[in-house]
Amino acid sequence: MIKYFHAHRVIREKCMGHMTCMRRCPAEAIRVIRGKAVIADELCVDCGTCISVCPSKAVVAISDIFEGLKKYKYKVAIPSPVLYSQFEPSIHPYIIHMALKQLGFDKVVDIFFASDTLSVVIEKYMDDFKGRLPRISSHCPATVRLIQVKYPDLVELVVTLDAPREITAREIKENLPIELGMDPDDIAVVYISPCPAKIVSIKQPAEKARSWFDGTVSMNDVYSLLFPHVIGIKETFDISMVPDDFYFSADFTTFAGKNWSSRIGNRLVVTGVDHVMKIFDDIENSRLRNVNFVEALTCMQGCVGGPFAPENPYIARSNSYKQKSLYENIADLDERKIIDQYKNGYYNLENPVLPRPTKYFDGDLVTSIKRMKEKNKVYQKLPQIDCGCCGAPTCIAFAEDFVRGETELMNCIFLSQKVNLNNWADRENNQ
Amino acid sequence: MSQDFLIEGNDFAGAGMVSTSIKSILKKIGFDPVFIRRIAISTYEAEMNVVMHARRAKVGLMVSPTLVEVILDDEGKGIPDIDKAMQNGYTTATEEMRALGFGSGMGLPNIDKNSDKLEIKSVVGVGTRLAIKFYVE
Ligand code: SF4
Repeated sequence: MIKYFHAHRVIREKCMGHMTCMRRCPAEAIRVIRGKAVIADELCVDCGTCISVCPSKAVVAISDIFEGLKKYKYKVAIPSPVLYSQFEPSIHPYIIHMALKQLGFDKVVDIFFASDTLSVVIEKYMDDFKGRLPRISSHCPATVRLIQVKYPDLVELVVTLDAPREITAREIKENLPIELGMDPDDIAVVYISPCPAKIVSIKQPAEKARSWFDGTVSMNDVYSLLFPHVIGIKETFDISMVPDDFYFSADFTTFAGKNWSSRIGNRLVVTGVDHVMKIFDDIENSRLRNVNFVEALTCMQGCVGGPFAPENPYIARSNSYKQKSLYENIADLDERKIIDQYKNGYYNLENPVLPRPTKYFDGDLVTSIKRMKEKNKVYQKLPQIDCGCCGAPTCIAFAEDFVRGETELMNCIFLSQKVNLNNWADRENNQ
Repeated sequence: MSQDFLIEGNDFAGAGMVSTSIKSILKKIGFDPVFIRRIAISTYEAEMNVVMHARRAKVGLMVSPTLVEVILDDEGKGIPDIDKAMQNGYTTATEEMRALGFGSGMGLPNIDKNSDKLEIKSVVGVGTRLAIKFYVE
């Protein structure tokens, strides 16, 4: 069986058994066992909801700490565009580049160019596309996992183009060693991520053997280190320090990748994992008949709502709008060249996205149907109030766990109470 | 394995819930995604028909290793001419319903297309029974 990597874990000592994560996890991947949250690896889609909702902050990121990057001679940071929106608009985006360099990065590269390029590519892709609609954007890795785990029929709808971050990293990995005359293994390309899903997509990509990145750090970790440098640089910053070719386009964060596909008709943007699931249900029922393109982002408000982004997503979005009006500087794109590259497959995903088979009732159809029947029987006996005291998010999930042999009926406090009462009654009768 | 559901007529807000529940049961059992898609589309169309044209309906889902069957029994006006109702684009939906994108007259033909066997029995003024069968390959 494949072992799935995840970019977050529960610190047992900190976990108070609140059950908030268990109730909110959209994949029903969490159980509270003996007072501690446990995440089922094969069901988790890396949406990060558990990280955001845990009242004790017991779910934390596992990202490459800077220590691990020390062995590289040259380090390139690729920040998610969300990073800029974490600072108020009086901070020039170039200050953030300078601060990252003070932290030890030799070079900072944005993904803006690649995302603007991909917006041209995606229009072409949609123009040419003749198959099943709607297409679903591929750049939120939690959305892709959600589809693999819970909507296997929709995998074929995922747009087969790679994400801007991967395209940027690849260009660096291909060109920089030549430019610097260095061994590629001495150069680290590091992503600063607002969410666990992107970290996972780098550590264990869904559609290729290996990511172009050498490491990832969570935005939270970087933010705390970065903040004092940003404040320091701002004091002496002068606009003349910004190089002429500094490129800034905040579209990606102002609204869920607005410039992606802006010329595509009939598109729909949906954010927040519950809302994304509703839309996917509609697609499966073939109810979404007039939509050609769905951009689905599992974090509320899109990537600015990522669980590793420290700023409140509404404030971040507002910062982003202001930064766009103040600093936007977009180079002309060579559309002909882009389209040629696209035709040569340059932007394609390396491998198709495949469903991730998760067996609820492991076994063949016959066993599985039998267990479903048994589950219904058990469910009928339960109070059906989803109190969660058994450690499962719903009575249905508890019944399923039971037929899978993962829990005992006595873990339902209502059933155990009944048994206790009966025992009492028996004892009284026998006296 | 079998399970029952209810659909209320005129409940446009809740439409789609039964097909979504059925779909989730079938996914958990582990049927092939393409097979589930056919069932989801058919059930959704049938559900919409009930919402538009009937007072309520009982839905029974029966699952065996060789067959999935969905039976909808509605209390409603019934279908006077089944052959006509099976024609593409034929609809008795009102203008308002069509303005909202419902009742394009594709319901029954779509169910027919996506299922392996469709049986319709209808008594005018009493109701309609749809038995939709899908054979597991
Ligand atoms: S990341 Fe999302 S899917 Fe995974 S355990 Fe946490 S809440 Fe559940």
